[in-house]
Amino acid sequence: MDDTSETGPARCPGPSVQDYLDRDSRPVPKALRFDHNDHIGSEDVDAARFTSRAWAEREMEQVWRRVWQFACLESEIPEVGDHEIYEIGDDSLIVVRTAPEEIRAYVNVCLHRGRKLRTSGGNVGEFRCPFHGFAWNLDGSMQSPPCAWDFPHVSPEKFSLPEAQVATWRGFVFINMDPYAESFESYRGTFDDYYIWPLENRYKSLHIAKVLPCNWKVAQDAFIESFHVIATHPQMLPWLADANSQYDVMADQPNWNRMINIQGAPSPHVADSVTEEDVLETFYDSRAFYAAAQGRDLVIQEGDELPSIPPGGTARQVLAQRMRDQLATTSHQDFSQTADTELLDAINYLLFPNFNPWGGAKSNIIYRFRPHGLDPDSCTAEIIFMSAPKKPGEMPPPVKIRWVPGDMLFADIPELGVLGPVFDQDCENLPYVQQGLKAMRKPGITLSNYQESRIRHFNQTLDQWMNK
Amino acid sequence: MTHTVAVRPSDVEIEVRDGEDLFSAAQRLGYRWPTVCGGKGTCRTCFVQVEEGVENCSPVGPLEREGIEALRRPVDGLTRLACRLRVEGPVTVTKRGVRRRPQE
Repeated sequence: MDDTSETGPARCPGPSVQDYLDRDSRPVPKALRFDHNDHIGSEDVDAARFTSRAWAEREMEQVWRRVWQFACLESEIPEVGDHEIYEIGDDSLIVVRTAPEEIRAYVNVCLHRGRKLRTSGGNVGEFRCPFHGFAWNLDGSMQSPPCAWDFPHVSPEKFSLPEAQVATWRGFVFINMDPYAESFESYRGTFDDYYIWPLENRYKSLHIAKVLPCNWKVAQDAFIESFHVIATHPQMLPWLADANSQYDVMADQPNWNRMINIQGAPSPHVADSVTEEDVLETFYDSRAFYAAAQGRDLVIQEGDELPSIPPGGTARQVLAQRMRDQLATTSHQDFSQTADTELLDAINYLLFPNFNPWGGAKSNIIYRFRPHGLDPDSCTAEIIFMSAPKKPGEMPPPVKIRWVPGDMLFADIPELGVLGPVFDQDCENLPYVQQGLKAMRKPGITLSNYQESRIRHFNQTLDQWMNK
Repeated sequence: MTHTVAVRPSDVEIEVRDGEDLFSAAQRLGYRWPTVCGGKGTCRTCFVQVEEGVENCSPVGPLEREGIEALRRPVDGLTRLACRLRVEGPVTVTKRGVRRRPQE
């Protein structure tokens, strides 16, 4: 691991994330002590990438057909023959377990007349086209065609299903459609050294999907910075340190970046007027019991009073201990040595382009934003929770994806707890950004040097693929 | 333990073992049963209509449901794929084309 860098763009006056970690009540993992931000420019980022159909089509060819991307979970396809369909742009892949220890991905199309072989996941012993009955074995080899006498020109050996590369990582399945792509291990760079939480020991407890009326990058960019809290989520300012969040962006690590956002401490914007008691009280406000059962929200049991802050203590210390205790009662794990930061803070990583996991001891949120077909004006947004099993040895099956209509509020999904209305606030901006980008008489968007450096980094990686 | 499945209109009686599907039982006992995929649940050719004993039939699984929907039949437990159908008591079905395989 690299040492902490002292260089880089200007930072918010006020305590840094590392200052807070200095005061943590437990030892902080080394991965979180890393603080590095290479200045990678201040130029505007052209807006055509968000609005142009031609850009979206080229992005499919140049990026999505060549990069490693998150397709599904291993736990979703535990038995031989189990499969999920992963679709991106016009591409459709069957991700299937072909042997107890083997997962493969086939192009989901019949090589006869081009019908999609499968329209949903499930379990099959073979892939049989519903149109004329051409069939392929799980290993991708073709069976003798129906009416073989009429296809003397088709030899099954040459009619195997085309394949994409498959790799697995901590229970997640990634695919790459480029047969010449670098290995997934090399693609991740140093990511594994910094994402240290055991996703492989967790199960998928929530999976919400929704089509949003904006480009996938507009949505992605909205969830990788905390700068917007000041205007979009003002209710969070008393307990969320926004402007002094940490952004880790490395010029030599194009495929991942990170932010750490301190919670249970006030925003520098309002710190002057907020007491520790205010932090504590506003932190608890609006958190829901239902989401506590999901291993995320910290709640006060009915009839209990707000905990008091000992003289000289901080709300953050009290909240961390409360979260430590609550997680211990809702799972079998020992959190006595877990750092405050892992219990309270938003630690968010992006592995380019569509794997966006949170770290920490609570249920880990995974976001996935990706194009919706070839439409530059809409995208698919997914929220996944990876939760620790409640009893030792128990590993509940993963929940199914739940598509919600575009006009349904996240606030009406009780499992999301405090995040539901927060997502709604985020999503309210997105269609207006999409529309505004087209009305803007300015060729590009202007980004801050530090707080929006992950957006610049992400878009620079995208540009590198686009120009390859 | 076996359970008797009567097949109309040929009036064949098939003794289906516990855990065995109707199609496999028929094959084991030397009957020809219409199929293309050979019992993998993907060709939908082996479907039957349940006339009696629906309460003795196994529940419809996801792949079978897909097949019944593709046949444009209601998934009400009365149209079944023989290769997915397990029984726990006497059942009567209609399926044309069930015949004893000619002796070789």
